Amino acid sequence: MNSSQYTIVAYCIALGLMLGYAFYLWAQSRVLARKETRSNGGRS
Amino acid sequence: MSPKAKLFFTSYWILTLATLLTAGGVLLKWTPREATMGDIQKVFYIHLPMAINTFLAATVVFVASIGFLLGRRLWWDDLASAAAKIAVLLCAGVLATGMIWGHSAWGPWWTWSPRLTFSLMLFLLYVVYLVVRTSIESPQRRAVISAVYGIVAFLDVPLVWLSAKLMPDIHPASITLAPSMKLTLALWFVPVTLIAGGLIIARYLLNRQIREAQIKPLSRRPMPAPRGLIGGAA
Repeated sequence: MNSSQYTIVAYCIALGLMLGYAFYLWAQSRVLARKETRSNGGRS
Repeated sequence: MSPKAKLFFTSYWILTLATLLTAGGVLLKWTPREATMGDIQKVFYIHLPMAINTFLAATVVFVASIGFLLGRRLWWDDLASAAAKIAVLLCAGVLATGMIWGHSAWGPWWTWSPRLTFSLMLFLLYVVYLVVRTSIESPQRRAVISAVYGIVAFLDVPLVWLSAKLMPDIHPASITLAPSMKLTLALWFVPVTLIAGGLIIARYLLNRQIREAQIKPLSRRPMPAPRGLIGGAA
């Protein structure tokens, strides 16, 4: 791999970690909200 | 979440994405190529903001841990745990980008220089913080032990910061940058800080929601009837 390819890999890892975790949190909050709605008998 | 909070978070993440795209555009189109290292030097623009934000996240853990020990409110613990998770995530990014940079520029993936060693220690300290939390069941006990650990773990932050200044290291003690490079670095600080801050807030809100959801079923249980009324020994 050359220097440009290493740079791209580094940016993909760094941004992937941060944005990937942001997506994970968003998905988890959706799951939690759905569970809450179900436990309230369909009322949000 | 209230509609106002939803609007705030949507605007926050749109702004973050816009600053990220701007910083990325500037990096690709405008920032000059460094003469000796070439393109790999551009890793610096994300490596340093992530490192500084790791310190900020560790500082949040430290402050929230003190806050918990002083006030004994569990939301401080939620905040400390959220910041510790983000500190681990950012530190993993710092180590990964640093290793790639080091390998491409100098050959080895890793050297046991003081700053690298203390950075790895920082990562492991906060990983252990999270592992310790999962092993304690009582929320109060977990919060107290985590708070004490969070304060002690923070001692590594000044060591990472000062190690390259006080001891011989592969990291330079100070860096001289061209004005266009300084601007790119400043631009990259904005999205990385916004992402780190947004992640800490989002994780904190989620931690709180999970804790409250765990308490709710207990509070919904019917109160036991007094023994005297159901024929027990009064």
